[in-house]
Amino acid sequence: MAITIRDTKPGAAPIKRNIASLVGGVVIAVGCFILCLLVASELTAVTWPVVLGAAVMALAVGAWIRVADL
Amino acid sequence: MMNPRQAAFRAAYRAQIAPAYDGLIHVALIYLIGGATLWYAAQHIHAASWTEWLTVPATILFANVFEWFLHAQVMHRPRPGFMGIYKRHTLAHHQFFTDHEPFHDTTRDFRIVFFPPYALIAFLVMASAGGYALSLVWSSNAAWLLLATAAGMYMNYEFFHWCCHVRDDRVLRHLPFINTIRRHHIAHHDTSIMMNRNMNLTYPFADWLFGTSDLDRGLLGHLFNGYDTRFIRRGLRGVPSTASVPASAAGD
Ligand SMILES: [Zn+2]
Ligand SMILES: [Zn+2]
Ligand SMILES: [Zn+2]
Repeated sequence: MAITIRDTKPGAAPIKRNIASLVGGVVIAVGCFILCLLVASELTAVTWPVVLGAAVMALAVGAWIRVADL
Repeated sequence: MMNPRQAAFRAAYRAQIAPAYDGLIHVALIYLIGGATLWYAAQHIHAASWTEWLTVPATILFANVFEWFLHAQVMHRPRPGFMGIYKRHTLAHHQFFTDHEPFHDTTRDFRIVFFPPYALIAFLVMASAGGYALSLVWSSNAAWLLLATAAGMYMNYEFFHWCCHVRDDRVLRHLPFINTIRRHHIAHHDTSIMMNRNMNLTYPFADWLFGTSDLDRGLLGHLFNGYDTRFIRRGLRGVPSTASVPASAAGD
């Protein structure tokens, strides 16, 4: 799957990221948060630490999607 | 042999992949999300009847036609609202991979082999909506079987498509279904047939059903064709049909 062709000087870092990875990062974070809670609910009682853990995990995945411009 | 145009596209594409991108994390995410969904759905299936189990083959057939439809009508057609998908597929995936050089080099190339993970989330939301509707009118077992099967078929699709674009086929060429889709999809990467032939990415069922395959043979022949080039329709392609299978695959 492609990213938009950008003008970059040879060797220079990409100037900006694709808007798709911002939307994607948010979608993935929300999806992962819900999925983590659903899976946790099958395995254990959903307590506040579990919710916090799911949120941290979801945010990390969403942030990675954005910085990786995926 | 790679032509200069394809080589230039690859170089430009690779230069834009963000440094933080990692192909193995990308694939791990897809399989963690897909696997967790499949597992969660399976936990909710209780003493399903055989009619409820029929949801599995029904979902597989539906997913097959759906994959064929999306590939032919969205990924290869500029549709308002879905232009990003057309650009990513027809204008990028098909420039990066041609029938003459269809293989990726490193795991960073996974960026253009696998869909972004939000595509999986979108499909799971659609399957969940379908499952919810099914649970209202019929059975919750059927709904969970639908969701589990949809998640499984998505992971099946990603794996088979990677099998089409990985160079080493010493094992893959002997595996039924995988050898079939590998020839089928690499032929699809020929620009002279890519707009209307070989649209399936898992099992060439819908291509057989709707007559959009580059093969002229029956359903079982289609599913188990493997690398066989004897049944390729004549006059379809701009180049001799044997060019569809890369040299490493065509020669024994
Ligand atoms: Zn492909
Ligand atoms: Zn060709
Ligand atoms: Zn295509």
